[in-house]
Amino acid sequence: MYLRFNLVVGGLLTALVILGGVFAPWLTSRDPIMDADLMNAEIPPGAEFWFGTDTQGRDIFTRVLYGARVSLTVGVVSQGINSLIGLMLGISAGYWGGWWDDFVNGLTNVMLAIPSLIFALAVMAILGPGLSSLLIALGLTNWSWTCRIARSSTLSLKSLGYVQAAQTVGYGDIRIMASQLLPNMVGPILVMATLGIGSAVLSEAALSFLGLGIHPPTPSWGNMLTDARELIMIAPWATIFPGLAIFLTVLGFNLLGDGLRDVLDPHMRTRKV
Amino acid sequence: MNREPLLDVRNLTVSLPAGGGRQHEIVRDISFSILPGEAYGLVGESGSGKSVTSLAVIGLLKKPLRASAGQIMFEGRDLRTLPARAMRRLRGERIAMIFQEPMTALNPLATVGRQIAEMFVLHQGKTWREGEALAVEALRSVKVPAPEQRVHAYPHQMSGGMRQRVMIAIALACDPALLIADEPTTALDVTVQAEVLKLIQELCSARGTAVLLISHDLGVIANMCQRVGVMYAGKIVEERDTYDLFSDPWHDYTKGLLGALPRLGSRQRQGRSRLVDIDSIIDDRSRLTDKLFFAPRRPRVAEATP
Amino acid sequence: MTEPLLRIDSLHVHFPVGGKFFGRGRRILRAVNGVSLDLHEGQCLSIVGESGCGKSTTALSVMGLQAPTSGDILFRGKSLTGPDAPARKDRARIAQMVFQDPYASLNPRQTVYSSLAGPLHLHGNRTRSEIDDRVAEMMRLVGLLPEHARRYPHEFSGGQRQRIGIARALILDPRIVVLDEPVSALDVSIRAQIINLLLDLQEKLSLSYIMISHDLGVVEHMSDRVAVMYYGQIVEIGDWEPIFSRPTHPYTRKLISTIPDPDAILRKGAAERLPEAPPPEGWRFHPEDVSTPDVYAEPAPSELVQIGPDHRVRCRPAA
Repeated sequence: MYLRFNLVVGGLLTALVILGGVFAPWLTSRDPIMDADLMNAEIPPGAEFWFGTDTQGRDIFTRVLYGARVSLTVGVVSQGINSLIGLMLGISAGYWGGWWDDFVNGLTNVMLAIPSLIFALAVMAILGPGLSSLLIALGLTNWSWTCRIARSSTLSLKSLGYVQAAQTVGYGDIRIMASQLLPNMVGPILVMATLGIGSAVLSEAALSFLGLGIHPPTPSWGNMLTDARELIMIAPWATIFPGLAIFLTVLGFNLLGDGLRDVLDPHMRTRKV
Repeated sequence: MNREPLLDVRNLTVSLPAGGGRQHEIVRDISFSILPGEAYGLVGESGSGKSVTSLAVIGLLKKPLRASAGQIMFEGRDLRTLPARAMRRLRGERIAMIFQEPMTALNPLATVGRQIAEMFVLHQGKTWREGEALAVEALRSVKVPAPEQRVHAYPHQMSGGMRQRVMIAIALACDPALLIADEPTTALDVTVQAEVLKLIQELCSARGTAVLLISHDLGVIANMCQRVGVMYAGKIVEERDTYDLFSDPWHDYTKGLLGALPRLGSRQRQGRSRLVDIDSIIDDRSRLTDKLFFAPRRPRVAEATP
Repeated sequence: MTEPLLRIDSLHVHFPVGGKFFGRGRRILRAVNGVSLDLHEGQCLSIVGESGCGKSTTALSVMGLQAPTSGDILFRGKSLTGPDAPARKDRARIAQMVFQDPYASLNPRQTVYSSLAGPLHLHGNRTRSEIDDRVAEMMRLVGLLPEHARRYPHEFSGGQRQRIGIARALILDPRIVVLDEPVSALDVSIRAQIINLLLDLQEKLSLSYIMISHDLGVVEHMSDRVAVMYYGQIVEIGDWEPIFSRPTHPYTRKLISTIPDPDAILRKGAAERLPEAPPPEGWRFHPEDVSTPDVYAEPAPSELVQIGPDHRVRCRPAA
């Protein structure tokens, strides 16, 4: 089935990336930063250096693996912050309505109007470079769509009997939002989150490419692309492999999200009594 | 003197592929017929196959449902095997249908006048201007007040009852021989229901239009139809004249349905009696369709005298 | 006459609609316009009317899901609205509700067991086994097997889901149960089962019902008292018997006479007209014209006039 394909392929790709990042020290004996021998510069992919080497003689394979750690951390953590902010604002706006809803809507509109990269740049400029600033910057930028979806899901779920029933039974508002509303919007939110991870990875790459994200020599796929910019004609492998890594990671997360959403729907799991 | 039936359904089966090459039969080998000008009711609960039957007659079954066996004889032709093009010409002109939800059945982006006029333009070759004039008359015939203004209204500007009248106007525009009404009043308020049903009855008896009325509401059927077929699990389990069915039901399922309803006035007359729980009088629901009851067609008194 | 279990006193619920951004030109929709009702212990009071008459809004106000614009709701003499109103949790033990749509009234992501046990967790320090027992007891009470509680709502049929909804409403042992069109979404053969169940439970647990319905057959079968609502106001109220045998208000008469009734065909020929019912001396019915109301207008002054021991009709002075 089409759905299974998504789950399997997506799962494999993301597992590959995650495992590669986690087990990097075991998968490669070289150090991504220190093992730089200029004698080995710009060697094409071969038996000794699987992905070839860059201008400074570092093994690209090693750097791609260690770069996975950075990209995944940035992707997952920043998306986690995004989802948290989006859900809190969206569900509460939909549930309580009134001036709070108006306020959240206004804020969402403002955030959607500002180009996210510029906003992230501005935050980075204030906070200074580094991984934690990057996480905060990206975490604050991309919550708007999650918020919108959470809000509209809340509005449509609010009128259903079981939400009213929860109120009559005596559940408090926060409890209702967490236990009745949130679980029923897992599907679309999950898909948004996985798309968001992909997008965060791309944003990190862009920011690092611009020199504002992770600073070299710590490898990140983005700054590997910066380093390799001049090498496109001479040593294309230095751009291909990081680029491929970004591509496969984003693809993997998107497919995984699609597949997971269907699996999590209880309708698909059980049959009638 | 026997009149030829207008619609003669013989051994109709509608099925659905059920995986593994098997077919699941929604409607199983049913037969019924409707005389010209007669009102026939098909009553049953959800899942009985009554709506599917009506869709099969008018040729609007959606894949993967299909009428897999039997004949649907209408004015001398078998509708089941009729090519799509010929069926399209028939629809609207000779057989028309009205549905339960007037909001979704009407085009929200076109005025009601245009939707009615469409019938005249498509089927009778009139111009749009002629069509619009005829649309005003059609609205008048379904008792819509101020038809000259209403003709320019959009469906969302009208109430549910009004929209249902528009649907009736569209359906009866070209004077079809058969009107199929699938739960036409279920979505309407009680008082509006009565008006719409009365309207359908008046218009159809005035024009001699036969009616196939589908409903789960026994009261609605009792009021409008001369004969009734009770459907359960894809089969007609009992078919009688309306009066006979209600006064003396034969089949256990019919008895159960009638007994399960709280009847207006019965508590006043005989106190509160416990409603019949169908499952308590029917031992085995799977055996319900083993015995079927059909009353022989009684010749009409008017026909007996030359 | 003992004190009523629940008293609704001059309830008004108004909604501002439409109009410009800052509230200029907003009109007021008078959904509930001065409704007063008494529910006595052990009785079933039905509120009848067509869509838009305000019956659902009244029910939601009783449940605390809709704040009244003015008026009071008193349970055993104590107010449920206003500054001394009980908290949501305490209100839950007073009145519970059975919802109309069995397909939307249960959280699809929770097992039936959690939907039923949740309220128990919230309200008491019961042990796990006490909760298990109570859930099993409720399942059996509504005619379901306790083993099935571990399943999800979509594995049950509509009728079974409605039973679960009833179990959930009763699990906190409320005194009042509001039934919102409890059987209109169900098939004919299932309706009878649920109606019988509701009547049995009423007797067994000494419950008091407020039923909202547009189905007069069910109302006549189940109710002790009936209130007929028309565009926010009660137009006729009283014991079920006079309401159905001598309907007086033009709207009530319209409702009753237009019910498609399977028995009507059997009584064809017999005089099927409702007995004549003129307004009482010195009064005219209000409203007289029941075809086109104006929901935004301030209603003309009128009152419920007694025409029988427990039978009142809305009239205005004939002068």
